[in-house]
Amino acid sequence: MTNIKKKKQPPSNALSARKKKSLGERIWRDRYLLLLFLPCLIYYILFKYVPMYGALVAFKDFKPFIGFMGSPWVGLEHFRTFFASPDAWRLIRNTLLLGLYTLLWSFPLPIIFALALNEIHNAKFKKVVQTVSYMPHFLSAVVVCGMVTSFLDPVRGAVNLLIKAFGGNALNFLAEPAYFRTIYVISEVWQTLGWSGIVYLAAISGVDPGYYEAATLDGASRLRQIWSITLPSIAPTVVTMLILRVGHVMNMNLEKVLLLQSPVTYEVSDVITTFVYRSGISNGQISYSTAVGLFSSVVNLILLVIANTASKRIADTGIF
Amino acid sequence: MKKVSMKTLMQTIALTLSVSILAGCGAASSSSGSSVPDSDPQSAVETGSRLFDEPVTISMMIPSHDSFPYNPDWYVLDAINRATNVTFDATPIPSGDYAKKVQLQIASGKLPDLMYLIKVSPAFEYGPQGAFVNLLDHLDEMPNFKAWMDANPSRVAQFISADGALYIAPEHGVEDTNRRGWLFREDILKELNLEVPTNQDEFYNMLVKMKEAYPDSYPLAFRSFTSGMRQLQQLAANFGTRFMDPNDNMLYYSYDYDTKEWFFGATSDEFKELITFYNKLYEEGLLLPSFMTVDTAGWVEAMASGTSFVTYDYLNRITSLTKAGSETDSDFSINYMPPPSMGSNGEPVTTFSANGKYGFVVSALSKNLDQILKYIDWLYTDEAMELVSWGEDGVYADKQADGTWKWHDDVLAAGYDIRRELGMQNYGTYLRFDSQSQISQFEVSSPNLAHAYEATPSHELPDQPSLSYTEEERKIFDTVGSNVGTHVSEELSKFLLGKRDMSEWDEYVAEIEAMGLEKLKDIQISAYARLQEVLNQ
Repeated sequence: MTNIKKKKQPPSNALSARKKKSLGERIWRDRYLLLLFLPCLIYYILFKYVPMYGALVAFKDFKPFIGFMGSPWVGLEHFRTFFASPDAWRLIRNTLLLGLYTLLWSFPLPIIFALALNEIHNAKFKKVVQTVSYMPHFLSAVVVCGMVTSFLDPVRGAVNLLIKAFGGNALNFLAEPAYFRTIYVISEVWQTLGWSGIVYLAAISGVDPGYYEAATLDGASRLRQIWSITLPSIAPTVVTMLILRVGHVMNMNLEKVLLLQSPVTYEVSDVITTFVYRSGISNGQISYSTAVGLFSSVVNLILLVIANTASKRIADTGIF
Repeated sequence: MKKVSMKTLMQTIALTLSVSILAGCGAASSSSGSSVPDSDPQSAVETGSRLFDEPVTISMMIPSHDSFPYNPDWYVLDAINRATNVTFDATPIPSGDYAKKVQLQIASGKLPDLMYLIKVSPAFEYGPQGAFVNLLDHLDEMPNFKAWMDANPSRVAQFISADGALYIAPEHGVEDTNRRGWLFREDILKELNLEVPTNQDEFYNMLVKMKEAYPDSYPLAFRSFTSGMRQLQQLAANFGTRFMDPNDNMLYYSYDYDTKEWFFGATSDEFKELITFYNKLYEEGLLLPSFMTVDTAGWVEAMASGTSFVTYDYLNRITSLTKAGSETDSDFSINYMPPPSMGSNGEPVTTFSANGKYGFVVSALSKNLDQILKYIDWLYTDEAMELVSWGEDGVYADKQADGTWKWHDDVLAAGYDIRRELGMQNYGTYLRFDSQSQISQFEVSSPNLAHAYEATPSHELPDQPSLSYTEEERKIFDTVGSNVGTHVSEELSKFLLGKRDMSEWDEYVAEIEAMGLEKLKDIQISAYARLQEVLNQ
């Protein structure tokens, strides 16, 4: 990322140096680039910015048939109701913990995976491993949860048959609150490992081979090369990805949580997104669930800003 | 590395392009195919006696049952078209997701002409906001509907909303085949020389004997604990208590017709007995360990493969489970078990389960309202009821001289299902239905099921009053009620699985009461009083 920034700087300096070119001329000069950018811009306006207006519903008592404009304003009432409900803090805690555990495992593992894959020199084997590893990404949550449920079935599940074969007692995994987070995180890691690794593989392949040649001549071991060349070279990518991930900590894989949870695991599995789903979609409390969803987005934003500031201070890179 | 990836990229682009071109061709050819003039012989039928002279298209959103997925070629839809000239622009939605899709559709503000509701609450909530037509305003145009209403006042009362309006055209007749009850493996009971249990001890001993004979089995299985522990509603009646509210809204108040009081079943002493008993079954391996999380497929497998022998479910599962089980075991037979009485205060009864509060809502924004109301009105005629229950006279069934109907032999063949094959009795194809149509078919194809339908009503408790809430009441319901719902299901599930010790029951009762049960009781009382007023009018 820093590389890109540095490369960008000279032209923009040059541009400001000769201010003769007007905005119109510059647009005309870059018309093809802008044309390429246009669909992207429309997408963001249409699907990311316009819906933000809808967040106002959180401050209204929305009734679909009276309409958005006609529904009365209620200020912060929905937020008050949420924080007054006995479950609010449990929801926030569960959401943060589940998000952080997921981040803790599913963030570093793809990097290690990419590094390991890069060390394989048998091209065919490497291709096979890579393809197999990102296949789970294309499975829907329903399929993955179906697999998890049947593997962990207390009577016929493969995991329990294995435990029994070694003389242990079958466990009712999905009904144990203690296992919920582990099951969720493992299935997330399994599903995202290969796919998230792609970006790091791309970054690694961008490292100048000259560095490695020089290091080999100096007698550096493979491990040393990873540590001193590969990792520093992909560090900007890693930091950027980390900051982006931190901004999504509160967003769970809703379908997966819903499909794996049951009332007996609510104490750890009930998170803000499932709550929003239950009250908003199942019970039709649109305003209330929008308010709760908005709160969770605000927390995400705060975390993002903190992560970005910290990264700028420590590593001198950031996304804004 | 870079070169290779560039090449792959180009290949991918080329492939994507060619695929999309192919897809384009496919779409073009299929659309030109359908533009060929329709040579369907049925469209050439004379139009004289039809309900509408001109073809009418009605858009509707309907639930599509997994076992009988919606099929536009169903015979019953053709028959309706021949009688009325109506064709449907139908949006079938898998019934599991249906309630949520209805909420989303309403929230979008765009409604199809007709929407089939399988839960009354959206009509109660959005009707007063102006989403749906109040049918009471149009009774002049709907003589057949009015005649049906006058003949069935208690059925109508279940659908009246808090503002005294009727936003839903109720279904009538199919709820009889919605019944649920205890089901057991008759062949296993015979094999072990056991009697059908009548009380808790006999029931327990039966399960123990089954486990002794089949050590790998878990004799009892349930599947409906998912989504708010609904199964407890069925199990509560045996213990002399109740669980859910009549509208299935997870508001756990029930009405006691004897004391004329609303009571909260889930914290009662009877409920404690119930939970203690099923927790014991779970701990002793008599209850399928995954009963709380198992899905329907897993439950069917447990029942069909001889892992479990006793369950509580829809009576019509007798047919599907027998079919699934007979593939591996020719003696396999499932039958209905009269409810045993359990606990110190129990009764041999079942919860009222013929409670399909279903029906059509008519969009207030509909462009051709007159025609739609005319069609709805037609669905309440005797003629329409016979057509959608038996088909046209002589095609699949014959009308007898005494006015009753008789299916042809091929329909009565074992394994033939009028819902799947002909489309009858599926959501949205009827409003009045002659349940005899299905039951008479079962008398031949599945005598156990016909017997079960006959036996259940005598064990059944009366239906609970169906309440509609005002906006203020709904707010309490949505906040207090939903917190109570979450915690009741969470704590009860912990007790059942032994994650919380039964000695903490009193603390659980105190916790739930502290969440505002009195407020919930008050809204039940005021909503019920309003219903009584409407009924007295």
